[in-house]
Parts: sequence; structure tokens; C-alpha cells
Amino acid sequence: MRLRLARYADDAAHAGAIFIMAAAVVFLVLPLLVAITLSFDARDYLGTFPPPAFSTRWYIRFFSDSYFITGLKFSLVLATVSALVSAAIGVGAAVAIDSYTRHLRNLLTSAFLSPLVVPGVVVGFALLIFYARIGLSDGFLRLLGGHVLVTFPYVLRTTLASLRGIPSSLPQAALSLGANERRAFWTITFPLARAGIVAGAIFAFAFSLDDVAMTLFLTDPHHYTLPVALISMMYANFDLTIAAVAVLLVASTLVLMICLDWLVGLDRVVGAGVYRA
Amino acid sequence: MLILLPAVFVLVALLILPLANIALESIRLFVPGHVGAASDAPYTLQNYTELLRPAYLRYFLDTFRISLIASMLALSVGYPIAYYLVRRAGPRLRRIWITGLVALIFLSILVRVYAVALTFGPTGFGTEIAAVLDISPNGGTYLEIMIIAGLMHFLVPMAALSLIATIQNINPRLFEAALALGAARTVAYLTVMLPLSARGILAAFMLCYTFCISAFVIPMVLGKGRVLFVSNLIYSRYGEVGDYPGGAAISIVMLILSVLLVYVVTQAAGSRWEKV
Amino acid sequence: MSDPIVVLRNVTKRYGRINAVDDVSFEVGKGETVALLGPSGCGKTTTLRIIAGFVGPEEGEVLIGGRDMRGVRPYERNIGLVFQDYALFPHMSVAQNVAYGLRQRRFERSKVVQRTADMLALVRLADLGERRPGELSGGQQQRVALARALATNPEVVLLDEPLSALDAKLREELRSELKDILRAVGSTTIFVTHDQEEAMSLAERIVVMQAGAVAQEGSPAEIYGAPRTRFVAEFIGRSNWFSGTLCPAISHGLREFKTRQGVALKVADRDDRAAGGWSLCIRPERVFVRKAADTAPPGAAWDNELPGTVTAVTYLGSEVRYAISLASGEVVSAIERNQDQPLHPPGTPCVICFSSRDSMLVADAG
Repeated sequence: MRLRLARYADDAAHAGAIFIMAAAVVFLVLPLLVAITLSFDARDYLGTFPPPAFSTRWYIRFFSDSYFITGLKFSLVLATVSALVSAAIGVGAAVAIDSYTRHLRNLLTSAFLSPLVVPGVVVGFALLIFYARIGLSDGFLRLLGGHVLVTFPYVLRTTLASLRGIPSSLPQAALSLGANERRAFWTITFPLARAGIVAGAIFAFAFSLDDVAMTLFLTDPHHYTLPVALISMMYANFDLTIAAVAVLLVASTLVLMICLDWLVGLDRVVGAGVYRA
Repeated sequence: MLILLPAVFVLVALLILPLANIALESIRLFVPGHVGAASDAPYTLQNYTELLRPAYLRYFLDTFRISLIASMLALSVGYPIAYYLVRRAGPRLRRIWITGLVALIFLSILVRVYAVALTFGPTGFGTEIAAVLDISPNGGTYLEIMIIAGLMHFLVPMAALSLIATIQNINPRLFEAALALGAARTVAYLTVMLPLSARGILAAFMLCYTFCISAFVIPMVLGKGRVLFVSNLIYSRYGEVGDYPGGAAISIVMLILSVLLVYVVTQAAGSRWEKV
Repeated sequence: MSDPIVVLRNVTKRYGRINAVDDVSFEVGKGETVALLGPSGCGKTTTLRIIAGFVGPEEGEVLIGGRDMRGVRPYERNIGLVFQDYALFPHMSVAQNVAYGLRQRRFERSKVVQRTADMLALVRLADLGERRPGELSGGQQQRVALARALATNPEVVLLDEPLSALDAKLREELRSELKDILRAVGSTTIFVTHDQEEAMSLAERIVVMQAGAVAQEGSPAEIYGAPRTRFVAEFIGRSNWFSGTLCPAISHGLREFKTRQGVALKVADRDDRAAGGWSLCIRPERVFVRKAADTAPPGAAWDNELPGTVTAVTYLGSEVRYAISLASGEVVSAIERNQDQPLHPPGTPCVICFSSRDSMLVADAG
């Protein structure tokens, strides 16, 4: 009897898990589908779902508005530069940290990952006032500083993980074969850590592109990013242009993901754990 | 080492100094009408004591309360998903799910918040859902529900991915040993797997909770100005009133809370389960 | 030794308060193969790494090719190193791996190509040059690692547990191959192992290490037949022990040994060894078991017989092992080659026999 009850409990739990997963799928995907559908709404106002007819007016509206396009271009430039600078800084730091002993390594890692712990608003606000105090007024540099600060920890983290996966015997073998420390790094360590570095740079790019909280404090009328433009638009008039942007962003995210998978393999991003299945 | 220098420079110049600066700013007096504290303003703790007033305390409490609900819900949903994907799902299904979850995380924050606003707001299914729950679709409670929904849209993927990593590192043989010893799946699960993943669960919870209390865009868009999180308070202080010292004080409090949270939970997770 | 290639003199390496390597000295001559043998933690790998240049000793000196290696980096020495995990570069092909050392030392291109091909032919992997290390079996990877280490014609080749990552059968196969390759190249070799069979079969001289210090140094025959300490006797081969007192000589080369149990044994030894407390070691392979009821076979060479009872028999195919409990109380093991002789079941009263010439005396404090 006990065994039968146990089996029912198991089956129930199993069914419950499946149900939760299905509900989760619906919950996570439905809003995106709604947004995508509404982006093709033919009405020129925000009406209830579902739309009666379809058109691409919102896309046209987006691309013809120089306010958004300027923001888009700026966002892309800022994200690219941030990613590159973060990569350079992050890789250097990772290589240095990897060569230290455990305690120093943990300390430095925590220190350099700390920007991720500080809320975006606080970073933005603090930088705003600080820039004013030291008199930094260049719009691009102000934003670049903030973006590099919050994105280089990602590069650091993924690069460190990559470096830890390289057995220490490999660079030692290179040394024993006649390569000095610098050449051993560039011919052995760097190529093997490349996956981690690229993954980190891609994260840096994506999170820079997407940042709102901090960026909101640091923009000015001549230097603003696409998310900031969209937010101000959301407050002004909440219409479906943003839905069109949403679809475009979903598409570009997919492209980014495919790049990441092709370069690095998504399994590696998440990791396979110590025990395989 | 020299190559560490750029990172050190970034950390000091762009984080430590600015934080020290607002710490300083937070203890200076703000005179309404000015932008920020005057350069000769006297030192005071007024900005902090003001926060203890019910009007402001309410925002803190709202933030913590809503964050707690959202985090716990996210974990209850995320854990079964993570468990199923690691232990029961075939490699193809697992790949699809992980790709999907990672894609969601990459997706723009604005897009997701906006999509939630469209779907669960008045233009979407808002009126229907509110009717089922017997509350007004424009009331504060429903706004809170929307914020929780928006938060969960972020938390569930984060929690699931984080828990996948944890569960993967638990030896499956332990579970099998429990089964062989006569425990039903559910029992074996509760008595063996859950305690072993406790640390990971705590870490995932911490991840979610810190995300929630520092949330800015989600409450800003979904709260429609009527439900505010602490971060929105900072923005309004700066943007609408020019009260830099006030904003600075809230920022410092937020910062200390975030750091404390991280520290406390890591310690708790470490000390209690270290013996396992 | 005339002009040894590698010289270690009083080398000491400290970690905290422990001497990982404690006053170690030995020499390796040109073309010689020496094994550093000992249990894990005895300092053999650290010694190897000191010779390679990854670790610097606190005291003592290391000379390679007559040059003092103090302050000399690994890449400035001309060594070949084979790591325990092979350390093949996964992002390069086999050929690129082998050529790596040649490239780093700026050999000209044609020479690099030729030498790489020669090395791959030497280890019999000539047509696997374009593969990645990940596609090769363990045995093949080991050979690539060897080819890579030998390519630059190093003054000394260092191997860290070269065969420990392989299973037993493969290990035996590769052992003889390794020996052939090293001999063909004529290299001076030092390798580290915890496997005494490996040390005995590959090395011309063995340095047995214990707790950071050298316990004994000598040829395999010397180490096996004349161990200087209890540790060495037990680490190489199996052993039976009797503790007791060495008495004055019976005749030239023959002395009496009285065990603690009061049994008198004959041992062959130098006349000048001091009387007093010693441990007597007899290898189980030199102990013969016969039923108490049987008589000794004619012409038997042993002059020691002790009565006892068989307590266990283990049939291992190629050999038979006995555990015997002696009347005087000790437990002795005997190993006989399997020649289809009838086995003595447990409980059989028996007599163990051994020759005084097979006796080895070791200082009491092992």
C-alpha cells in the first residue's frame, strides 16, 4: 500500500513538473508573441489585442524617425567600443589574476566583479555627480566610462573560467620546449582561452547595447542610446513603434546567439557540469 | 603586474572614487531650489534620517516585499525546470530549452518589459485576468502583479540556468543509491537531492533577489509611476527635484543593502552546509 | 663517472617547514637511463621539476652539461620533458606539436620539416601528422609527447610517470618500445615513477627516494639483492622479515642468526658486519615449501628449514602463493612458479626452506 501511494506521489510530482514547465513556456513566450503580432497592427493607435488588420506602418515609422536612428547608430558604436575596451582590460586582468595564489586570486576576482553587485542606478548617479565634479563633459567618454565599468566584469569572468580550464602542464610544456613566458602565452594560452574571451566580449556588447538604468543618467541631447530614446518615447506616447523595435531586437538577438553558438558553443556557456547526465 | 593596471584604474576611477564622492554628497545639506548641494553646504545626517519617515520607508518595504514574492515564485518555477532539464530531458530538448533561456537573457530589457506591459496590461489580457482575481485592472494591486510578472520574466531564466549548473554537479549516483535503498523518487528527492542543492538554491535566490531590489526599468514602466521601487526614487530625486544629497543617501543605503545581502547569504550558505 | 651530463649536489627544496627534497645528490652519465623511484610524496617529481627549471632549490647546485643551472629558465636549458598528462597542445596538429620546440629555437624551415618527419617515423606515427591530439589513443599521445621532447635533441630527457596513465597491458607494450626508442636515440634519460617494475625494466640505475631524501642508489640487481634499509627492501619486490641477533661466524662467510623466537638460522654475510640486532629479509621467491611428510629433494641447496602450517593458497596462473604460519610464530609468504606441481591445501603441515645465500641483512630501524 505504501509503495502504491509512493508511486502515485511520484507520478503526481512528475505531472506537476511537466505542468510547471508548460506554464513557464507560455508565460515566457506569450508576451513576445503578442508584441510581435501587435507590431504589425494596422491601426494607428494602441488598441486591444488582437489587431484587426496588419501593416508595416510602425516599422516605417521607426526607420524614418531620425531620433531613433541616431540613437541606434550611437548605441552600436558605443557597444562596439565598450566591448573592445572591456575585452582588452578584462583579458589583461584575467591573465594577471590567474597567475596568483588562491587567496589573492579570490580577493581580486571579487573586487573586479564588484561593479556587477552595484545597482545600475547607483552607478549612473554616482558617475554623473563625479563627472561633474572633475569636469568631464564629453558625452561619449562619459557613457564609455560607465559602460566599460559594468561590462568588463563579464569578460573577466568568462576569460578566467577559460583560463582555469587550461591544464598548467601546457604552458610548462611550451617553456620546456624553448618558448619564453611571452611566447608561451601567445602561442598556447591565448588561443585556448580565445573562446572565453570572445564569449565575454559578446556579453559585453549585448549588455552595453541594452543598458538603461545607468545610461539614463549619463545621456544628453546629443549623445543618447536607443533604449533611452525608446524610454522617453514610452513616456511621451506609448505606441507600437516600440513593438516594431522589439521585433527587430529579437531578430538581432537571434543572430547574436547564432554567432555565439557557432564561435563557442552554447553548451560551454552554460557548462556541462562534472557529471555528464 | 602591469597588465592589471588598466582594470585597477577602471575600478578606482570609475567606481570607488565616484562612490566615495556620493557618500560625501549624501551627508551634505540640500537646500530646495538648488541643484545638488551648494559647495559650502554644512554636513548633516538629515538625508538619512529622512528615509526613516513612513513616506520613504514605504518604498523600501514595497521593494523588499515585491522582490521577495517574485524571487520565491521564480525559484519554485525555476527549480523543477532545471531539474527536469538536467535529469530527465533528452539532449535535444535540453539544448532547445537552454538556447531559449539564454536567448531570453540576451533579449533587450525594454523589449521584454514592453511585451509584458502589452500582454498583461489593458490592451492585452489585463482586464480578463483582473476580472478573474476580482480586482480593478487599474488598481495598485494589479500594478504590483504586473511588476511581479515583469520581474519573473527575467528571474525564471536566470534561476533556471543558475540551478542547472548546480544540479549538474550533484552526483546522480547518490539519487540512485537512495532509490536502491527503498526511497520513492519524491522522498529520495526531498531527503537527498534538495539538501545537496541547498547551496545552489540559496545562490540562485540571492541572484534573483539582488536583481529585484535593484530593478529600475521594470517598476518604472509597469508601475506607471504609482508603484515605485527604491531605484525609481533615486531617479525622481535627481531628475525631478535636483536633490542630489537625498538621492545620494538612498544610493548609499541601497548599496550597503546589496552588499550585505550578498555577504550574509554567502556566509549562511557556506557555514551551514559545509559539513555535508 | 667521467663528465656526467646531469649533476645534483646537496639539493634541498623547502615548502614551509617541510623539506620536499632533502639533501639529494646523484649523477647521470651520458646515455644513461636513471629512474627516480619512490612512493607518492617522496619528492621525486619535485626533483625532476628542479632539474627542468620550474622550481629553484634553496640549497645545493644543479649542473647540466657541466653548466651551473642557477637562475637558468626552463626555456634556456636544452631539456626534453614528457609530462604525466602528455600536455599535448590541443589546438595544434601532431606535427605542429612535434615541431613546436624546433620553431621556438629558430631552426630553419626545411630542417624543421625534416626533423619532424624523422621524429614521427621514430615513434611510428609517420602518417598521423595532421591529426589532432584529441583524436589519438592514449598510447599514441604518449608517443607524440616523446617525439616532441626528443625533437630538439636535448641534453637530457625527463619523463614524469610516463606510463602511469595507461592500462596494464598497454603499459607493458609501451615500456619496451620506450626503451628501444631511448636507446636508439642514445639519450640521457631521467624518469620518475612509483612503479618498481617500470623502474627495474627501464633503468640502468635506480635512485630510491623516501621523504625527500635518497634511500639507496644502485643498479636494479643491487637494489633488489642488497637493500640497505627496510623501506627499500619492502618497496622493491616482496619480503619476509625475521628480527633477531647476528652472532659470530660459523665459518668463513657463514654466520648464525638467532631470531627473537629463538630459532637459529644460517645467513651468508661479510665477516666484518657487527654482531647485534638486525633484520633478516628473505624474498618469497626464494622460499620453497614442502610437505612435512616429504623428504627434501636430492641436491637441495638450502641450509635453513623451519616447520609450519599452510594457512592460505592463492593460485595466480603463472605463480602460486602460500601463506605459512611458522611453529615459531612468524607468518611467512612463499611464491613458486607454476609448474603444475600439486598444491598444498590450507592446514597442511609443511616445512619452509631457504638458502643462507639468499639472506639479506638490514639495519633494525628500517
